[in-house]
Amino acid sequence: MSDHEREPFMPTRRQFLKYGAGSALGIGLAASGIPLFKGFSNQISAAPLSIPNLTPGAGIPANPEDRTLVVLQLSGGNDGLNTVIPYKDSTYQQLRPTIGQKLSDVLPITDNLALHPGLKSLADLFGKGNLAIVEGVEYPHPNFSHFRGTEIWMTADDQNVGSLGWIGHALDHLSNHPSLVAASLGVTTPRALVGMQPTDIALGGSLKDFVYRPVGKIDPGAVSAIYDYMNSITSSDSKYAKLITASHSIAQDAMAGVAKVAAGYTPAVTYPKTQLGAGLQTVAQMIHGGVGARVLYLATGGFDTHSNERETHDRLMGYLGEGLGAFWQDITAHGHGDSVALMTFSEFGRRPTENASRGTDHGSAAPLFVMGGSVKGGVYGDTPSLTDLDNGNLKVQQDFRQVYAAMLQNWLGFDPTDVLPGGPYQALPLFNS
Amino acid sequence: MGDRERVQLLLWRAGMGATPAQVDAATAKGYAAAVEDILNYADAPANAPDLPPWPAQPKKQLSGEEKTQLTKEINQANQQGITTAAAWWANQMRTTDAPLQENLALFWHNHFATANDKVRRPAYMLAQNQLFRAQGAGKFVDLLIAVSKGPAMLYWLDGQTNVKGHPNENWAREVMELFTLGIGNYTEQDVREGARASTGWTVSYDGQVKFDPKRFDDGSKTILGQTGNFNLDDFSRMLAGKPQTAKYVGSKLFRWFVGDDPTDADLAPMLDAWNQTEGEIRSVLRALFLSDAFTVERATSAHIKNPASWTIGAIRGLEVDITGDQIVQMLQVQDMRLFYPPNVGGWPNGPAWISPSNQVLRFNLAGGMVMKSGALSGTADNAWVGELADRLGGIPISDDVRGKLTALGNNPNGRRAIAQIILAGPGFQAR
Repeated sequence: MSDHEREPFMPTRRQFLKYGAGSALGIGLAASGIPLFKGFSNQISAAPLSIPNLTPGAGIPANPEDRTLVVLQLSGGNDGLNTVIPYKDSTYQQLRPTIGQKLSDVLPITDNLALHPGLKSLADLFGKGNLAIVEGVEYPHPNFSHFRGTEIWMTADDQNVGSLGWIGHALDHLSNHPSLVAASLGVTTPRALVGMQPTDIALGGSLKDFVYRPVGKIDPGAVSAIYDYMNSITSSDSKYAKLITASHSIAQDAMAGVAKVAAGYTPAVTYPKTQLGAGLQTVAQMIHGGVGARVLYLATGGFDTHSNERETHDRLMGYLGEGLGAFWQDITAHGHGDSVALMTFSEFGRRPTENASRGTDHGSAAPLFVMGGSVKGGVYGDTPSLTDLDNGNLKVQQDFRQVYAAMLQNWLGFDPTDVLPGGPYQALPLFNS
Repeated sequence: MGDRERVQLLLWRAGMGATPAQVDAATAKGYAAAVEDILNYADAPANAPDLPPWPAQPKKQLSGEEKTQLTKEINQANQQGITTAAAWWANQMRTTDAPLQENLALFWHNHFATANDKVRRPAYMLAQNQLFRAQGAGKFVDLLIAVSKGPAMLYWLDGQTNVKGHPNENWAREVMELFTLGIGNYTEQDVREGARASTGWTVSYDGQVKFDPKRFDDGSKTILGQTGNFNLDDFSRMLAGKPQTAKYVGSKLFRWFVGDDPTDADLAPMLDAWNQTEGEIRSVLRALFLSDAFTVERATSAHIKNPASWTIGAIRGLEVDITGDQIVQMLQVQDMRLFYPPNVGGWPNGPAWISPSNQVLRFNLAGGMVMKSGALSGTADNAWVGELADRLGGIPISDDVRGKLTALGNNPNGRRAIAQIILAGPGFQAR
């Protein structure tokens, strides 16, 4: 590793420690093109709305520090074509004789597009103008690998194996990190949140478990003191030893805040009893707790539907629709609708033609969702053609970094230039101004 | 002294943890003999329990009610079966006299990562797991071929629905990206042609794997620059024989047993052994354990225990009295549920396991373990903290830290309190 390469720092309260091997953020491809933007505000059908806006929104918070981005990763490669469906295109049924959704079941949202039947809550949000659908998103030259694809989405770098995540890197712009500036659910920290400075608190499952429980009659404060002490004298040990003591340090800092959050929240709705539902409830809890988290991150899996896709994908879309519906109702009921935006992504979409196993193989471009009270609803970009394919795959319409640029620049208030290699990327106008 | 330290490393890395008495006994024979002792286990499956019977295949059209009943029975057999298999395996790891065999079973489970949430047949998962015991130290090509034709893998990567004329690419892509060559060493064309070569295999309801020539695409395929009427075994042999595979699998073994990415010099002895033995894993590991890279200094600066090695190590080192079921539950809350890797890439490794929540979790789980260790009752003094460090793999504790810890030890739960802190501290987790 050369001296010129950047190294992510790992945190302690008192010092920044060098950790790991960073790689230079190299020069990437030029932006793939100007985004094709279409508004659909005057084509929205007047569907009955099932999600009431319980608390009138206060409008988009003027200060980006008062806004929260929630990132929901759909791992495994979500089948975009069965999520946002070009239902009037006869090619769709031809390519998918067994796994295609029936015309009579889907939820039409525009003249050409319909949502999966499980996404009722999102169709309603679209009707209210609070859901943006970005069509045909992917990185340039899709490589069809779960792992490399995920890495590219996490690091925003399709040319080099970057070590910094796009969110962690952006949060490095803050001169001062509150202890809960970003949090993820799960035991391991997602790559997207890795920065040069401390960012993530991976919160595991339940907030109330985020506390030391020493055996015997040891005071938890004594425990903290020990790890603090180890932290101060591990300079000669391995980089991982430092990372471990630093993690204890961050945990101690965050414990009080987390405990407060866990205590002061009652959900306004009953969340579905799914892992995703529980995760979204914890996210809502964190937002309501006002701990100052700018980004909250969670992931849900099972989308790698190579065989018998319909059953699995229908179930997953149901989880997604019910989970996001409950989340949004809860968030708006607590008055946070305008200050929260949620985006989904998946490492790739799937092949438009179904395979012999009634599933789909790894593909390329796919739609993603952005929802929120401050989101300018509509469909962004052209729906990829089902007949003009690239070696059997949908053609990429928009570089994923145009979405990231919007999140960083227009929502979180960060300059995306050094975070998004190969730019500048024109931010999609996803938010009300 | 140097020998004991390296033997201890061997018993903690190749094995899954050892008591000081076991380390002393192995040291008495010398390092080279200890390497042979740990390598030379019998290549055979272990005695596994019978799993609950799987509901019979219906012989007629079922009514709605009967279908619901069958689904219920299947769910129950699946749940009980996988719980039984996982608890048995966890207990094997805790008690085995052939720890490398169980460690390799875990390594290969992580390498050929197959998950029961899709397979949904505990018997298939257990059969694959036994394959890792019987063939995990043998030639890689034989293991690859056996795994590729096991019912678990045929379900997991859709081999059983990959038929002539309608290939399913799942196996062909992942075998090249994740099991053999590594990304960048094949083309999309190779994926499509490899899928054609892999057609023809079926799994019956009772788990019999058969080749059906009618489903096999017997045309010519071009894979990795070679053209011929290749089948699944040809494809596997082709992949196993590539130098990229030796490097890819060798690097993964290095990361598992030492840590971090190997340099070319680190890999050289392993690759020599691979080339001389057509990829016999036992020889490759012998080369690794006898190489200059396998030292305490190197291995402990580059490694973080995954949830299994952390939990099993603590249990073996502290002689924790715990059931297989309890171990499985501990692994599950740490996101490493046996037989359920998160995806075909296996679990994350190294620093990915270090996060604030993971550290708090390890601390709290350590609290449960130390309460179940008979070796830890009573008060602690300075000398005892040193013994504890040896029990946990010979971890370094500076005099300063030892003093701080000893100050907590003067109460009836003193030893337990100190052990809990050490288990969630840097020394043990990097050991």
